[in-house]
Amino acid sequence: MRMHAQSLRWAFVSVGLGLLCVPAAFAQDAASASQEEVAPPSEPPPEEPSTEAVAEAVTEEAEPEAIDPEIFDIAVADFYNERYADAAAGFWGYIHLGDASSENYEWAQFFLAESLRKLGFWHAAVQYYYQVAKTRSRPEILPDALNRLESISRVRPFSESLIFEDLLYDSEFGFLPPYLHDWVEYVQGLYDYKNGLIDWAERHFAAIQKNSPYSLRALYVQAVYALKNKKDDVAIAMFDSVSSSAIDEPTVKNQANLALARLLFDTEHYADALKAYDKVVQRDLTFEQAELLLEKAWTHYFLGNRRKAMGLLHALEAPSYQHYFLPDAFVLRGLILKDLCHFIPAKRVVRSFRFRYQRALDLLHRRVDMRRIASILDAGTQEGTIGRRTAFLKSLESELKLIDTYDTFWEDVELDTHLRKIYELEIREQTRLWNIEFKESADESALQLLETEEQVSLLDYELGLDIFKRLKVEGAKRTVEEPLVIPFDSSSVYYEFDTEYWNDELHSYKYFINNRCFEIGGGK
Amino acid sequence: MRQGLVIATLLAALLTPVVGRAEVNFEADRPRVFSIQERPYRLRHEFQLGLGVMPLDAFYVGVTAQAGYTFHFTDFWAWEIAAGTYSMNFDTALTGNLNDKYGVVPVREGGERIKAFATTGVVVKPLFGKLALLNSDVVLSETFFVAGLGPMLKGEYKRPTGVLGVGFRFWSGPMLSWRLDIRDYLIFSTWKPENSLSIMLSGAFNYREADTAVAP
Amino acid sequence: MTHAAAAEEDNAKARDVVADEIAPEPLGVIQVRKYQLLHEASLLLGGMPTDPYYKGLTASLGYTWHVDEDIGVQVLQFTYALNLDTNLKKALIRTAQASNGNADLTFPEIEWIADVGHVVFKPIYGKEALFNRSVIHLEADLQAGPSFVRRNSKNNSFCLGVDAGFGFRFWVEEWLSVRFDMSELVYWVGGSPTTAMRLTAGLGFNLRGDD
Repeated sequence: MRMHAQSLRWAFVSVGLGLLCVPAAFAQDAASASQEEVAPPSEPPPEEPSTEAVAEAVTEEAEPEAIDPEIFDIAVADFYNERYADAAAGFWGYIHLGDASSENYEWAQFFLAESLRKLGFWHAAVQYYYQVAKTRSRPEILPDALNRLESISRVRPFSESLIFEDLLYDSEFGFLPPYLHDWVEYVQGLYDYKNGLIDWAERHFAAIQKNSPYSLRALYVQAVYALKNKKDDVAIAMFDSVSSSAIDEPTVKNQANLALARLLFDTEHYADALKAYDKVVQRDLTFEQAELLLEKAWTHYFLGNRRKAMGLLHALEAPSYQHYFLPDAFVLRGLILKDLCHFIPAKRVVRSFRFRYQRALDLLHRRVDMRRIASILDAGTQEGTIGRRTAFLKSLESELKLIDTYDTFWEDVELDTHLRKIYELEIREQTRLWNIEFKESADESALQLLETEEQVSLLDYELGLDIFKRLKVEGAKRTVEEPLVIPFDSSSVYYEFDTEYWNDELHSYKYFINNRCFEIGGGK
Repeated sequence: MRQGLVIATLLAALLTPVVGRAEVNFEADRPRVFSIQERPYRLRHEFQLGLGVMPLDAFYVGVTAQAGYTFHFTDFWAWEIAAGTYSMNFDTALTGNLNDKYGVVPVREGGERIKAFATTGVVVKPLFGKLALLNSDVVLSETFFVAGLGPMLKGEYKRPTGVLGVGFRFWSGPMLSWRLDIRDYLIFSTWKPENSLSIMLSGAFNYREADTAVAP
Repeated sequence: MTHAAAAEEDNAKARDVVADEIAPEPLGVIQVRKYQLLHEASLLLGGMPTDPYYKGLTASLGYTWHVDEDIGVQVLQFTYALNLDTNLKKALIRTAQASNGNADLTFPEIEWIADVGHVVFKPIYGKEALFNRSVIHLEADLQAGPSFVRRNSKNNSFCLGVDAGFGFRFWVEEWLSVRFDMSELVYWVGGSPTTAMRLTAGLGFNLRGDD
């Protein structure tokens, strides 16, 4: 348990900055992605083109031919009549057959991106928005292209290296609308922090409007940096400011409350940690939410509220959370049942742990490739950078399959071939990075599982001792607890659990369980 | 004799409860899990306005308008202090039908017609819960039962009336809820009561003092 | 408009872009329902209380196929009516016979009703705590569809109609629920519409197979 508490801080710091890039929606995708058949690549591929090369594949060598401007007009008409597949073919034809100096070349790129986005080809759309924003030969389109990229960056998986590093980090955009300006300054400041250029980062953050949601994210980054430099008081104050800000940015506030709660847990201020945990709003059923339940359960346990802790663990058995890798939950459940002298149920918890993870443990002991161990594959890809990358890979693969749907519209202009090339290149690149990241995250998950196995084995041993502990009859006294009384007339409503999980109840379960322990010389 | 003693001893051993062995009642120790949630909406002073129908009489259908005030003592008990109803009566086709088909007319237009009534009664609210609307929204609901009495103006006479009913409440906010009331009025024109069914939809406005209100 | 307000408006507009295409998946309310219907056989008793000449006591047998949690089809419900004369009818017979012995004294009554292919829409499913001690699961539904009416008259003995109503269901067990239904039947007798209200209560048997 001490290890668990300490590990929270360092785990948080190491992923804290990475979490900022993308809100919780990605984590949901990551969780669902890990449940899908995200088949791990069998071998690390040879050196693949970098992201820049992938982007360059988009800008094909155009044949220097005069293109009929009517193609563009027809495509625009198709676009506004919502015939997006035809519009995409038209815009692509204009780009592919025309010249970069054509009058409407950049507009064609922008509308091609729009058409592809409407059809669900998010990555391809991002590529063309990137092109428009990168070349900037039509300044009037730049804000719209950046606007789209900013929206997509908040809620969809996307290529962070392409947009954040390649496009935004090193670029000067001149005058931008305030909201986009804030976004650009934020990303530039964030990457400066990552690269250790603190003064430059501070300058970028200072340029963000005070009432912008990105100012809250910037404050959060600064708090994480303070935490990393062991300035806990400063970090706590900053997290508090984020949490109590009037700006409407629930994702960052949730992250700040979570960070604050973990800090307070780490410093053993459990009651205050619980207040911070309670401020985290449940907006989805992601791994982060499941982790939140488990952390709250530990906090309640340390405060002595075993029933409440068991209630939260009960919520983890809901169908939406069942598949997440949280082996700690078994340890906590077993500990509580042991503390209350419910030895047989505690033994059942040990058996459940082994039933769930024994196969993975056996494979780990046999040194099987971790990509072939289902539990480790799920565990290693459910959060953090690799979680986002897994979600991104999943969306790339589904968009690649989607191209087949539009073959009849695009085979004449070979847009389908071109898109397949883009997606296959990106999938290879992302897979390469995924393999590198998975090794580290899988190692962590495997270590966590092995440590939990040790703890469970120790728990099992102690249970065995406790079951057969000798007690003299005259000393066998038990405190008779007050029976459970449920008032029929109350401002609270009591819904007894009957196998049906309601999402609004997940944090309100309470486990009513008697203490069966005997106390030597005590009780009645 | 000796055989009898052995048998008697065995029987006694079987029948006598074993002394000193503790009985462990696992069933009583079975853990129970509850979700305990504060009621987001609580009632205190309820003002209600509704429209309904009294469809059972053969000669007329009453379209009713009701106004009422209920004081909620607790989340379980309430007193519907006054519920006043006015009935606008519309003839059915029966009178014409009787005349056309059978050449008869009803005496006294088919009997006394309900014009208005007022009741006071006890409200018991044993059920509170929540409903999922197409699994995307939650609507809080309550089921309650009413029993009361009051005078009814039926024809030109006042008749004592008892009322029994069930109601369903659906909240749309802390101050506004919607009710469906189904009530049976037992009208004692003679010692044998007549039934009159009322189905009513109403909106209820709730006022509760700030210090006792519970934030959703 | 002040600069700050313009900036706020700009921020709001920017954040709305592509919102319709990337709306987050709704969270949902219930993860997996405890009570799921698939094939339901129903047995209901009730009445038709609104006819002035008779009150019908009804018994109904029906089968409903629940397509999913929100939609079902009541494939067939057959209702048989046992009719009791009202005092009005008895008085009318006496009066008519006394005043005019040749009066037409036929009182067509519904003998049976067949509801066929009713669509059942079940938008509401929930639970209520009873005295805070136990939980009752309930469902509310709306249904409508065509009905065939058989009357005991020489003319127009077979009529077409439309029935619409609502109902509540309270579960007792996974295979058994208690239903309360109210519906209004409108059927055409020689081109003229006639109504009959039906109130029923009874049991629904869930014949769901192994999932």
